[in-house]
Amino acid sequence: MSAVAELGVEHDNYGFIKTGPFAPADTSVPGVYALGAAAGPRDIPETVARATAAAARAQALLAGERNALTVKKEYPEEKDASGEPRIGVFVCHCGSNIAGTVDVEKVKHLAENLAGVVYAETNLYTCSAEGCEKIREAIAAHDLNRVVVAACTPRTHEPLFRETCREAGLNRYLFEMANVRDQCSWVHKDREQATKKAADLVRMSVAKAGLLKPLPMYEIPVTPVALVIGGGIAGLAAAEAIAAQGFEVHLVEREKNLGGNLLKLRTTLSGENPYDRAADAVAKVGSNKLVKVHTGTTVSAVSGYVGNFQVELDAGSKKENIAAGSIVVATGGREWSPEGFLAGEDDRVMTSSELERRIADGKFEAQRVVMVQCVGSRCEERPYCSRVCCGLALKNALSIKEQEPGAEVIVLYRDLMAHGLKEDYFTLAREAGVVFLRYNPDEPPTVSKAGDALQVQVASPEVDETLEIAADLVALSVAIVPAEGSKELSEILKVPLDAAGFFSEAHIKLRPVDFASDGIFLAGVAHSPKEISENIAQAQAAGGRAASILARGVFAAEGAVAKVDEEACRGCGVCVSVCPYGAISLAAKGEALVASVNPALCKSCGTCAGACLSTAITTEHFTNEQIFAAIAAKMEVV
Amino acid sequence: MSKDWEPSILGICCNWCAYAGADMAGVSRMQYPPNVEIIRVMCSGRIDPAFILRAFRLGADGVLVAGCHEADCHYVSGNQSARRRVEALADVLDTVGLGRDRLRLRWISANEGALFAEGIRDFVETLKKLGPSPIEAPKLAKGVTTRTQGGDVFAGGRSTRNLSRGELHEGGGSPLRESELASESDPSVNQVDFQALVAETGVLNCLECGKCTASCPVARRDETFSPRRTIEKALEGLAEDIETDRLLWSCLTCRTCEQRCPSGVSYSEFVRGARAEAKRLGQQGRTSHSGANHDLMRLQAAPKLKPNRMAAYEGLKVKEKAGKDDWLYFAGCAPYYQALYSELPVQVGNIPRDSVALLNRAGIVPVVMAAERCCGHDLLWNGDVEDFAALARVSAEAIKATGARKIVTSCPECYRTLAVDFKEHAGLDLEVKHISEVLAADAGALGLSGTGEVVTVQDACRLGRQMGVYDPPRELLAAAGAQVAEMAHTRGDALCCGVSAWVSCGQCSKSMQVARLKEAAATGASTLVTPCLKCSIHLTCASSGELPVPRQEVDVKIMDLTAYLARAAGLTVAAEEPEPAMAAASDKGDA
Repeated sequence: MSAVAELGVEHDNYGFIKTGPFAPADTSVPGVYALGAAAGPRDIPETVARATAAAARAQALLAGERNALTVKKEYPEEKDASGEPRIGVFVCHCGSNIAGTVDVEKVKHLAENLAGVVYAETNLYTCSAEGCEKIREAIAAHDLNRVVVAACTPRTHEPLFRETCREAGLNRYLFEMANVRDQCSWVHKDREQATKKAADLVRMSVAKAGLLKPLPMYEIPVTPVALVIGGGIAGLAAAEAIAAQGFEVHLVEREKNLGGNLLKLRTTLSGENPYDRAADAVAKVGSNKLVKVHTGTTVSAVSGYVGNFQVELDAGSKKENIAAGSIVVATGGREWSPEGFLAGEDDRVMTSSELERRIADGKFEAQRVVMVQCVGSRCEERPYCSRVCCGLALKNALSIKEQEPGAEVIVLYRDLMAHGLKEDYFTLAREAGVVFLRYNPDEPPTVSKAGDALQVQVASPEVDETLEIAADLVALSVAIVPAEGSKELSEILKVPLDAAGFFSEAHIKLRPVDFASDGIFLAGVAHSPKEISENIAQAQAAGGRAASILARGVFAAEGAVAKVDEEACRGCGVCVSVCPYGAISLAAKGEALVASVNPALCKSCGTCAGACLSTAITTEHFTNEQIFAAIAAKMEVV
Repeated sequence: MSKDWEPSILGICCNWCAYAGADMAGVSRMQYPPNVEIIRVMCSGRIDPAFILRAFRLGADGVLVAGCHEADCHYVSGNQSARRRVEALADVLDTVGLGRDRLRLRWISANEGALFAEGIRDFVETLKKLGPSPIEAPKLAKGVTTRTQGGDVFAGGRSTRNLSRGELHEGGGSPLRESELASESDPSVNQVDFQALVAETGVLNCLECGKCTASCPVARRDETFSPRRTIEKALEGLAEDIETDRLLWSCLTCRTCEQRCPSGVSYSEFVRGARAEAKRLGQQGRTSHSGANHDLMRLQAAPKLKPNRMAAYEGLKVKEKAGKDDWLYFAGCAPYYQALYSELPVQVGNIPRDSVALLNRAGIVPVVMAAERCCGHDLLWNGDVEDFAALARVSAEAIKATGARKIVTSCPECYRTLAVDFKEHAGLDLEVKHISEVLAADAGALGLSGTGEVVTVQDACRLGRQMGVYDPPRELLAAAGAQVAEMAHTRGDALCCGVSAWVSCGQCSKSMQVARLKEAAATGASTLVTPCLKCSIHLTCASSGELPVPRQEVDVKIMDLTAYLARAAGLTVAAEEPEPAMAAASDKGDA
């Protein structure tokens, strides 16, 4: 808090640093950015997205000085690892996380006696600076050419240990982990059993390690231009963030105008005017010389890979090809069209966003309003929460109470999702006399007509009988669904959608704006329903991530890619057809067809290797040989 | 089952969802039994059925395959490939008697730690009810083992038979490289055995005329391959050279060269013996399909397995015990291959049914064995004599127990193996015939109606050049009113289907298959009839994938002889048409 005070940034009455919904990383002091829980209670992915957004904002200021203080990390030459395996095994205590359950000394002793192992030790924390130094020392002292660390999960720590190996002159791929914490000491209590399993896991990792091969990293030159797909607030913010770092951006929007859903909104809970802010953002992007706007245009084809995408834009009358180094997907979403509730049959039944416009445009007239939450959300077809609708209902209820204090507002809800600081508005609404009545999800409210009057029937767990409520107006808070064309775009970009049709990020917690495919990022409602501030934060983050690739000049691609044994290849094309990335093609070689892999496109999934009947294609680092060795080790036949 | 027995489970999990879900169980400290160890792959689509079969064959009690939820694959569609493969393999496990309950496919997302933990608890419960796998873990052969575990309490385990290092790496994929040629155990060839092999197979009679190499379909396509040079090396005593040469695994043992050899050198038998010695030396050899088929055969050698093949014969007349003159029908591997290669338009699954229906029509009620196992042909020809013999002994016992004195097979490989190799390795000496011979003896009884089609016939190596049966399939086709148009290479000169014993498949095989299909199409025949399911699978594989020639040049339907005859006899409602889509396209379909 004292640091916040020293910086002079404003904070709210809870002590959280103040940020606005349209500049979610910016504090009241220019050049000072806020992230994480300092600016409000946050979940992990949102924290990561906002941190990335803050970094992007800071990078924009520093773009002119890029690389001025960069020191290139020098690595020693890679040592020859082609001789007999000389494996070093490092068994981590992880404090008491592992050693509390597993007899690490015993595991170390067993490891020492495995084929190929020439050195083993235990460490209090192998991942500490000291632990990594001990790995480097052991590589030198014992001439190790393979390293196995028995510790936590490779999903978090493999990069660190690979880097450690490389610093000591070992190729990054001559490293293997045994997951004796997350998948052993944390899930088993019996010391003997856990120790036996840890020993099994180490034996499996050592067996695989003996067969690891050094692999090259591929360097790919980068086209310093970005493509942003979608011209709503997320796309606009992403384009602005990329341009702010000095890179050219193509902004593609399928509608005739930029601005998206925000142009349909009139107010926010905190009192801003989204229409004006969206119009500002459109104008700002329009006048930015680095941003080339393509409205009435869709992306019809994408080929290439990180740093070198070739994109075909379809503007209806003409097609245009552009090159881009990175891509941001910000295609947004739309309101679901409600079914039932007399929606579309009686014009006193409307969506909550339509009610919002009526209130803002002074066309609201009613003495009793019933709002129904979760219409089309959290059901079997759309199991997710649409996130913005509770806020929308609170906003409308408060506006009505302000305009017509005598009007009755009844909100029928399942769970009121007033997350974070929105709880304040929930309190305000209740204080203003808005009635919140919970309904049973199994018996959602219904709307009928009694003569000309609207009647809402609702069964609430809070009252014994079904209530009949006469209403002058019924507002439905409907679900948000993915934008049209999302499926087609996912196929064009070869990126995954989730079951609901929203784009899926690479890691639900730690990589919220990355796709699994290098060089493609996502932001906004395209990923899931979101608030304005969340959309913009994610867009700034995605823009920053996209720019970071462009800033690099070259991109180092994964070395563990698919590899073809041409003699064993039948040229049948099964690999070509199963590859999700179009990374494999067939080429004539003499009289035969032979598969070949574009390493820059390959994402190492190995589906080709799983499908090949003649064992002609494999994925480096996950070869049959290596996997068979681990299986044999597991079954204790080695 | 011993009291302290605990199931051993191999988990194969994708990096992004299931492995992460297992980590999440850890982060949440959710307890589950320690019976599982996980191998991480990037995507469940990487999982080759061979991994699963290897685990079972080495004694695993259960295998868990887990990946991202169906619509949630990190790599778009890899998990759908995994699902298809695992489901097909589950059918195979049922047929061989291991049971599909030992193989689980689960979709577990990165945050479903509870689902992972619960899944393991439940799987362990299920396996405890099922009991230990009937397949016992082999042990490394003496001298092959790497350093032991120092007599620790954790060392060792169940053991029944020895396992060579080469076997352990079999299915590794890439052809042997220099560094792998060195054997880790006993590096020297057993010269006494080798000289005996040279003598027994007539190598000493070689005149070095070179007709073998000139006629060899592999040598025509791979100039580094030369049967003559191999024989010369054998004569010069360069055994080591032969045994460590990757080309030892290129020979199809098709016996084309033996048709030409003026000195009676039995090159195919020499290669078979040399492969056995190579395996003893720890050579990995080569296998197609990542060695999955061979492991499937090896695991069938477990005497405790209870295969169940009776479903194929439902509604047909069969018996369990043989009277004096009863035939035993030996069906072979058709059911497994139909499941394993279901992504190809392969049509071999009905061979057992069609065969028995035809035998019934001919007035024969055959004995069938519910617990029939693979004949082991492919193990033997891949040099794995020990596993072949183990499998043959189990089968021989079962055959003897039926009381049958004569065997009819629909598979040419079973025919050769039961007739010749079971004698040597399992002491079974019965009359064996191919179904075409048995049916042709009284073709009139089959009630075949004239198809009026022009067809052509593939002479399978094992049926033709090895067992001398050429005419019966032709006689049966003629009886069915088909006009048999002969291909450019026919009978003893017939071109092999390109792969034998699932040893080496690749560019050379494909080239042979395309050549064979072109010959077939050039006859003007609508259908290529083959008496061998392997020919059928390999030629179908070639014709259903991408081709280096225009598709119309190889456009011919491929049908098994029994399917063709059963249709002509009105024993099938309508032959199922193979899917017109390419194998490749079927994978893409649900992507």
